[in-house]
Amino acid sequence: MSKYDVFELVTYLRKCPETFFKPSDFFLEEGLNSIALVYDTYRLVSNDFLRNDFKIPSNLGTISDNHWRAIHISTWLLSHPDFINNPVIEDKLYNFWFVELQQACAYVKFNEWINDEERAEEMVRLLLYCCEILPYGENQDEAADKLSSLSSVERHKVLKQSYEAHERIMKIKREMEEQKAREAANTYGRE
Amino acid sequence: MGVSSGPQIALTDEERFPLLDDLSFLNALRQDVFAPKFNFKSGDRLNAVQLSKVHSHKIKYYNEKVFWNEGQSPDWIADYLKWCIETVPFYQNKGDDFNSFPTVSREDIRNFPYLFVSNEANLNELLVYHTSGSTGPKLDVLFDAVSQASWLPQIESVLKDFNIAITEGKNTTAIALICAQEKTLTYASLSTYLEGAGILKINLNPSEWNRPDHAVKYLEKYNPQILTGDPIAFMALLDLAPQLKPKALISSAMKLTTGTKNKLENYFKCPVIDLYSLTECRNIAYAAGIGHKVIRPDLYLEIFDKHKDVKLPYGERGELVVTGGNNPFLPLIRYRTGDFCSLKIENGVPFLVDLEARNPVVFYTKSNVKINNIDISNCLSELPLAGFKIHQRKDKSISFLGYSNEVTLQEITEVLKTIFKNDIDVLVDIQKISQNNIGEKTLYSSELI
Repeated sequence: MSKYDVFELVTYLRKCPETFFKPSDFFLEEGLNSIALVYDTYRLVSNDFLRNDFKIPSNLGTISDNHWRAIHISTWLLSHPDFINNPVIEDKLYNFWFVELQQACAYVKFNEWINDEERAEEMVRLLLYCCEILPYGENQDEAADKLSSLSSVERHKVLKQSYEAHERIMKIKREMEEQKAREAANTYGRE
Repeated sequence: MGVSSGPQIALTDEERFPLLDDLSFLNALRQDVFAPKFNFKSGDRLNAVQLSKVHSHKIKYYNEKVFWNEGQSPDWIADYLKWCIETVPFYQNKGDDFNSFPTVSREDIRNFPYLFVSNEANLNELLVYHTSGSTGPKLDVLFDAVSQASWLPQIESVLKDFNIAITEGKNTTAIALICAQEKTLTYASLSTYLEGAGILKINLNPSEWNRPDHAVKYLEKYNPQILTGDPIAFMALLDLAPQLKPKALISSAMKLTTGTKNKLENYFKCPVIDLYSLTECRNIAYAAGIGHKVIRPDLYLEIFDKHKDVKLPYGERGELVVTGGNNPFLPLIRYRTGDFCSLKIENGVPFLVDLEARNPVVFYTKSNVKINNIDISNCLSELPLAGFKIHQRKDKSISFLGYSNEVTLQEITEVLKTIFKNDIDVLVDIQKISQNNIGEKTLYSSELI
């Protein structure tokens, strides 16, 4: 199997064991030890099992339950052989987990990363993008286009923009009907 | 109420004139014993911020001496295009290169007026001008109080070329828009920009007045400084022989022939200015020497092929296309005016040469010699015609309808025969100008196209 094959990675992600869906121990006492999971993933990727100084946010308490569970699921994805012993991506994971994935989690419920094929592909492509890895058989433009078409953040942005544009048009139409607008103003010459 | 409904009276005078405390002159104009039966109310609606914007436009209209030179475009185009693309929905996703930007038609504005509103425009300032469609299907033009009131400094910049200034103040009538129609909105108003000077829009139609002689008495009493209107309305006014002393007459909306201009100037003893303006962007140019001199440094004018989105080389004749303006509710990029001319730039100021409204129409003599409508227009312009319609039938015969109180059938027939090289059959009709005309623009049409 080729390395970084999107289909292969999506299939792998969707086999994520249910135990990764559990809440973080920040929210539930018997939940997953999120910090341990993240550190173990760092070690697996960097292939340095003695290190204990990986980059994590200082405000862990502000991370939502949904975001933690998405991180848990992503650690399963990062246990795929394509990512093991791949030290160059270690310093990219912080951005993936705590910036990009956090933004996407605002619009995606954690179980959708597994249950919804498009969201699963979005997570795979988002991870590859953050790690500056081109999916197998794709060039940079193709990879960017495909991620953009799947991106929940982008989709939400477009929906928001089109909603706002629609609202604006409706408001203009309402204003055009207002009698006060239709009294207009002085006309000084013929046109 | 539907979007296409007509004008509505909806405000108080305090809302019409937020900055004017003394409305006594307005009441005098409205309540005068000779006043017409005004059927509408209007104000300029300017608040302090908006008034200061009108004043800053005035500075621009007065100070810009070089608009652009041959082969160049104005400095402001790049920023204006960027702003339009970023804030005006209609212009989005059409590219960001002005040179390849597509043209916009009147149909686009008619169908999607709301898409031309900048996202930065304050909808509380939205005003709607409803055109009833006398020269085409009805149209709602969106604008604000600033772009409307900017008409005044635009005209002041024209009058300056004639060493004329409008006197400001609350005891003078600055402008009277004269109409001679079956029906139109009429009102007395004031101008905040002109420090409370009176503004009138009146209709000479006798049915609009309590007594037939009141129109003349009312106008003579308030003696407006500037008369505006179209040639038909002015000829109807001339017919009433009022004793007025205007500083200038400003004629627009229709072609002003040299004959009519001379008659009006001889009677009123003041310049008669032939103004070219559009509802979509107000005043553009006035007739001066080699053509119509452009007065707006905030407009960029180009000439395009009538049928294709292709800009024509400098000096070639084609459709006039307008970019710019100061209306956040209708910023224009390459708007097709439907009018035809060529451009000539002298010392950085553009002139519209041989400006003709509407599509160019080619006529034919019986033996198929082509006659351009510009040639017809030029020859007829010497006659005191307020307007005319000329139509060529399939059998090549010409039917002509002129509006005039003095030109004879024989005169017209002779001129037409000369234009068509004595190789044409003509049917001429002259309609007298009254005080309640059904206004028509000068029209050319042919069944041979």
